[in-house]
Amino acid sequence: MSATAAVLLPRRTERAAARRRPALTLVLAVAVLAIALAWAILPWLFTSQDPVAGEALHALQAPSGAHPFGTDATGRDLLARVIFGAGNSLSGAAIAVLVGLVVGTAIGVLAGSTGGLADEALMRVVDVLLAIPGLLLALSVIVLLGFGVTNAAIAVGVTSIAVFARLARSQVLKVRRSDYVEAAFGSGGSFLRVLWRHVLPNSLGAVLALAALQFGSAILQISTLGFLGYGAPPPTPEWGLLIAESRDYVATAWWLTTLPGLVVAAVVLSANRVASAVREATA
Amino acid sequence: MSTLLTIDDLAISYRARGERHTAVHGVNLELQRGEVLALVGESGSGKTTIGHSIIGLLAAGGRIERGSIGLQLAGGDLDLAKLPARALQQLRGARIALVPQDPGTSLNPVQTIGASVAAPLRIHRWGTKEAIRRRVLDLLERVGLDDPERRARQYPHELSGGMRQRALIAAAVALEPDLIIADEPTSALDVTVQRRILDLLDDLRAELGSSVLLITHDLAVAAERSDSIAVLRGGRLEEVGETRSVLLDPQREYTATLLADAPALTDAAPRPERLAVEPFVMVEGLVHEYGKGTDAFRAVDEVGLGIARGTTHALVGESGSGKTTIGRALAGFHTPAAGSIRIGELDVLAERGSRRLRHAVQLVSQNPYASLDPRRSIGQTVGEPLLNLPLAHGGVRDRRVLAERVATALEQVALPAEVAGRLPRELSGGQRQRVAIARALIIEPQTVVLDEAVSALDVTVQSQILDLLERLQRDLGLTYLFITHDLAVVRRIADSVTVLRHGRAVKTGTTQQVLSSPQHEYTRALLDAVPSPDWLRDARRSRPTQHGQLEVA
Amino acid sequence: MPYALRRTGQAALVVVATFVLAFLLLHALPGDAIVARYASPELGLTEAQLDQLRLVYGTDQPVWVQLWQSAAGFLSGDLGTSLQNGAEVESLLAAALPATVTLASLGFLVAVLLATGVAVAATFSSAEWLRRAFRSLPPLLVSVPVFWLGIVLLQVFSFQLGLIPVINANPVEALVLPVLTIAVPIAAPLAQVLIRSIDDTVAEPFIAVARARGAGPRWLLSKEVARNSLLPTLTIAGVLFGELIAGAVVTETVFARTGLGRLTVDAVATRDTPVLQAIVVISAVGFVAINLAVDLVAPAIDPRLRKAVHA
Repeated sequence: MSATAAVLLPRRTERAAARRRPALTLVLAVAVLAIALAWAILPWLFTSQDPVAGEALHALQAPSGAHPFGTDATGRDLLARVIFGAGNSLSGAAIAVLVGLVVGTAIGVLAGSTGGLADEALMRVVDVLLAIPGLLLALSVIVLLGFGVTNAAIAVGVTSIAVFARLARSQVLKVRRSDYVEAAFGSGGSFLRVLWRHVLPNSLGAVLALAALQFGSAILQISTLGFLGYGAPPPTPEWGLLIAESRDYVATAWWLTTLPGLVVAAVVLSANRVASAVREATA
Repeated sequence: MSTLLTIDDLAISYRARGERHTAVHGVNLELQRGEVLALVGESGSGKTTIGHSIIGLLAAGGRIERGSIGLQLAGGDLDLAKLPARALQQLRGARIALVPQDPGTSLNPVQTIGASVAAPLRIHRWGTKEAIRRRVLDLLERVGLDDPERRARQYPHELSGGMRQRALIAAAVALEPDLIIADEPTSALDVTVQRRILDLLDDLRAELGSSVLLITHDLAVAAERSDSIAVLRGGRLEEVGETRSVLLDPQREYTATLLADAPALTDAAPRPERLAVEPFVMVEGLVHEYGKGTDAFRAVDEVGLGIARGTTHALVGESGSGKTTIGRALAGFHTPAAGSIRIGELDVLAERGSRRLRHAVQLVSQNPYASLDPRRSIGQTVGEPLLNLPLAHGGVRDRRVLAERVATALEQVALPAEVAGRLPRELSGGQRQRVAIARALIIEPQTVVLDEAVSALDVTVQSQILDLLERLQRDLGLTYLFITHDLAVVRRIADSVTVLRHGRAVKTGTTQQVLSSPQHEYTRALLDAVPSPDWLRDARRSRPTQHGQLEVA
Repeated sequence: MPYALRRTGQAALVVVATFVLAFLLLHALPGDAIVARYASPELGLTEAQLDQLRLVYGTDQPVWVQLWQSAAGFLSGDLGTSLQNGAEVESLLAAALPATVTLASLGFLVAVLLATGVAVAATFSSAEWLRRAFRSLPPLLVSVPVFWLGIVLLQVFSFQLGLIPVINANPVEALVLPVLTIAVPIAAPLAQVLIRSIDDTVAEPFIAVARARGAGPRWLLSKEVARNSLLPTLTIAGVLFGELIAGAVVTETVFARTGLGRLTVDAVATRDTPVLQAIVVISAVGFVAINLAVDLVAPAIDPRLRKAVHA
């Protein structure tokens, strides 16, 4: 590329490079998410124990060197079950976010950029989706689709369509009213070109930040569906189900509920922390 | 005469992004009882920071590093820089009061005007409920609000900007403070309202014997209203002294530059009249309404004007006068209800939104912070019209040609070529406005609509941009429609003027005709509103600055 | 008041649309609810017996007729018949509702108190470390699974500390932990919104002006900030209602309480669509009603909205 052409492209400047070091909490959050992701992709690297088959002899052992998280009622290593459960939870959350992001953003961008009757109709549909409390909407979708990890994930995704649609629409409207979009029309840009070049890039930052936030919330909701028994069937290791199964031993084996719950909370908290960093970066 | 306020070696720092940087570097000031001290400077000069430090309202992260702020009261001397928070709180609103900058956002929107004005009285336990109520009504009457009973029951959004500022002044003087800090008290108001608010402040100061610290960016306001003046730059004191002596004989080059750049004070002779045989831009019978049916509001009412090729026509008026609506109609951004607009042979209304229209006329809008896409580089922004309008001069498909054209356009507005790789947020306001002008000019339009294009800029930057616009007009033969509220700027740049009020043209003519012998009462009111004390104008007329000569040439 | 009327009309429209959606989702689309429920081989029902059941439940009719019948039923208070045990849905709901309403309203009350306390402490505490500590609380609690929180509370207070008996608890004792559990998922987002809206208000110029008049923290909070921060908070009332329902489902499951939540869980487990449909529609009515109320009350809080109302 010639030197003259190079000047047309945005360049990282000294000021951007000298930006403040990321906060410690953000570093920690990224680390937690990285570990969870590694668990999800390569669980066997992190544990040699079998997450499904247990030894009755070792049932209900408190945390120890051999079993850092202890064992459950059938003698399965709890840590192994948590590690192998990461895959189900994270992939489920990813599916949920994808469903909400794609469908919701499409609805919102369409409504916001066309306006008029289409906008009105799409937003009434969104109103209806919003009117049904999230969990009930998810349960209705599950009744329609049947139980299972993927269906639970889709159900959670459906509940977030309305939020994505509203945000995307309001962002598009805000950007459309901006002076620079008017200036782009003024310099001869066609509707689609201005939409593609100016409106979408400036609208979608906030939408992506919401997607990051929804990721944490999707993990929580999927685990709730798992806990209620509509997600993965036993003995699949799934975080919500894991906690549900150990409920009967709450009086005797504290680790069975406490430790998996802490893992879920840590992952969700980290996802939310990263989401707020994404929001700040795209604001 | 006794001294009320003595600021000694005051230094203030702010923490931003984890680093401390100094905003005020050791400033010394003195304010006498009953007098007005003007703090003058451009944005970032530290004038507001000093004002806020006196009243103990530094923004989060702000800290007084050293120095003292001495307040000499009847009861004894105090150092505000070292006073405990609670003691300072006792002084605020009682001995030191603030008249804020923007009356639009400075009143609690869910509180009645009466409650807002009563607040300082109630906070300082001035008297019984009934006594306070009566005092509030007296105050509202004193600041010139009609029907105080009704005003006291109204909410801020039901009042005009000028009325809100009156209410804020009423609250500020409620406890007859020794010191009133007026932080740009009129910069958010229309010009004719500005003068009346400043008059009111003057009257109240004289009546109460208070001192006023007037913080302003407007040298003309300072010249007209202050006893002494302090010129600040980058947190340092450039010059301080008695107002007349400082302005008549500035010791520092910076003060002289500020004076030369202040449009109200440059008494440049109007441009030589360039008589046009026939107008190039013609607007006739323009009507525009907002709303429908009985609620319809005529923003523009039968306005016509003509602009000769290569000249500048100014559209002057206060907010709501319809000037922006006309400019946007000319630039093809909306269709008026009636009327016709022609640019040369081109029928603008028939061509609405067409590429031919974009080639003929471009718009530069007021806010250079909003008019550039934050995600696109300056080069991409400036080059965009060439990509959108491929008919322009052989079409530009080749990146290299495009980059060269962009570099030329930037050079034209006196920006270095490497700016092309930057993002808008890395540029100053003046630089951004240059970019917006470069974007408008790159497809070589014949006509440019400049909508308050210099209003958001500091005076020195404003002056540079006006120079630039004049040079471009000479070099390229551009025709400008220059929309502004500032008659002082009009005097400097326009060949002809239309004065608008409530959507009607009250006066149209050459700048000379309209401004030198204002026929219409409203035009006279607008002219009077431009602060420009005679002593200063006379002195400057007899001794024009270099800058002034340049303008005449 | 034309505004109120128009707004009420809009709300009614959303309710009707929600009803149709819920009906289509739960009744019509899965095909034949009778087949889904009774056709499994273990029951050994003949085709004739299934037809009989279809006749009883009205599923032999076209979808639109069923929709119409169902709608007419809802309007007259007949919410249908449970597929699970043949009981009338309205009587199932009537039996479940009181326990849930008690739990939810107490939980909501606790949540509001908790959220307000946390938000005020997070914005008005004098020490910065205290503000920070309270500020980090809501994001933390938002990240905690509610069902897990319930179990941990049970574990700590009932089993470890023995403060609340697990069996033979009196009604008040039995409510303490469930109320806490349901309050947290309401309090956390509420506190987040409150903190944000207080922050936004405090950044407004009129707060600086009030401070310049000598106002102290107490005056600022009660006279300047409170009312201005209330409105943005009210707008999430509908969302909180949804959270309350979800909270009831989870809490009643964890603490094995009877109520609407438990009814929901059972209905989903047995695919008892008439029950689920009734719950969905009633919840949507609640959501719409709350948002309608907020919109109608808002002008009383913010005078700027009054103009719009009368226009």
